[in-house]
Amino acid sequence: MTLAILVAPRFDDASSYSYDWSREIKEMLEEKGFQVIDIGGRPLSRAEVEKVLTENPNALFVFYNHGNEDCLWASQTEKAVDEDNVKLLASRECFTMACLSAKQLGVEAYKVGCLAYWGYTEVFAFTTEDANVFKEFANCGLKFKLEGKTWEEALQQAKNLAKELAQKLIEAGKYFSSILLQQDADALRCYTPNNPPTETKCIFRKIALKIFGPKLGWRISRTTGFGILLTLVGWGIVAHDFAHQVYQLKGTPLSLEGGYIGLALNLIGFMLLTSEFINWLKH
Amino acid sequence: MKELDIIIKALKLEAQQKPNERIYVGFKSYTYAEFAEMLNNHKNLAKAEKEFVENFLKTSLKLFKENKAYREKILTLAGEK
Repeated sequence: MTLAILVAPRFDDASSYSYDWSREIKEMLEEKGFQVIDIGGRPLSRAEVEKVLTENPNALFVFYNHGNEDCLWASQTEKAVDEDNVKLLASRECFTMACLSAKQLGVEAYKVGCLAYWGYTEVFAFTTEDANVFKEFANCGLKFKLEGKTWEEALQQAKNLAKELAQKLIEAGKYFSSILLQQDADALRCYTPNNPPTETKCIFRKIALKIFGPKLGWRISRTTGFGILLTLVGWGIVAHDFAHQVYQLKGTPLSLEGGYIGLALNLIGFMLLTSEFINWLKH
Repeated sequence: MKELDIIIKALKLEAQQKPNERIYVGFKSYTYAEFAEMLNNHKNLAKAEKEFVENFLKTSLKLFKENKAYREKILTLAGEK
């Protein structure tokens, strides 16, 4: 039997709603033959969540509660998952209904090998007036996935459903709900190996994503990027200094010198090594 | 009247009609009226709230420009039609 871990802490009004919405998810999973490890309905501890994730590697992870850019909350004070234990999300699919976590935590999860990370890059907002409509939207992604769609298809269908629901809300004169639902849908992301994250604040990561594309761009570590940068800057300083010395000796920097040949070989060697490294990363 | 002012006017009227409804935004919640008031004074809000409200206004303005039904209904509610 396929395993799913459903974590839905409850400790304030908003998390009472998300806990309530997660009951439908539990039913859906059980109908599809999943054995559901269900912890929630109260404030949880990090240790509890870590234990269940550690004991059940590869199980689908479903989380319903508050989140932040870098974490999913277990209680008002304790983080269930953050960048320190994000490796627990490796080799599994994660479906989260939490604010903001796709902005940073989801990206880190993708980088450590999470198979799918469903989440939001902005705050998830909803109205009490149309809580059921927001529940339908929040739960639909996993529903589509369980119906046999790929994560990418489920994401597209969820966004389409949000448009339909938002239009119905407009027609019913519910403008707050309509706008908030549209905002939630705009913030929805699903990172998979076929649909890697593309947004980042880091200028160097942006350059890496631009040059190597999103699949490869995320695999180059900060240390590697910094190493490449130092090598090229160092090479530039040496080349400039050597050209200056040659100019002082011969009145022109253009002269066939061993130093230039050495620098050229150095650059070719560096390019070959970098290209081999990139090929290795691709595989 | 500017488009944004019309939208805010309409939302304030919707808020008046629904005094008991609330909006949940992460850990915080507001009545519709409180939220509508924030739309007017978003420049004085804390960073996270300000970002959220500005995003809300951006989305509503986009809808106003691109969605005919939304535009018509907002104009009618605000008494601008």
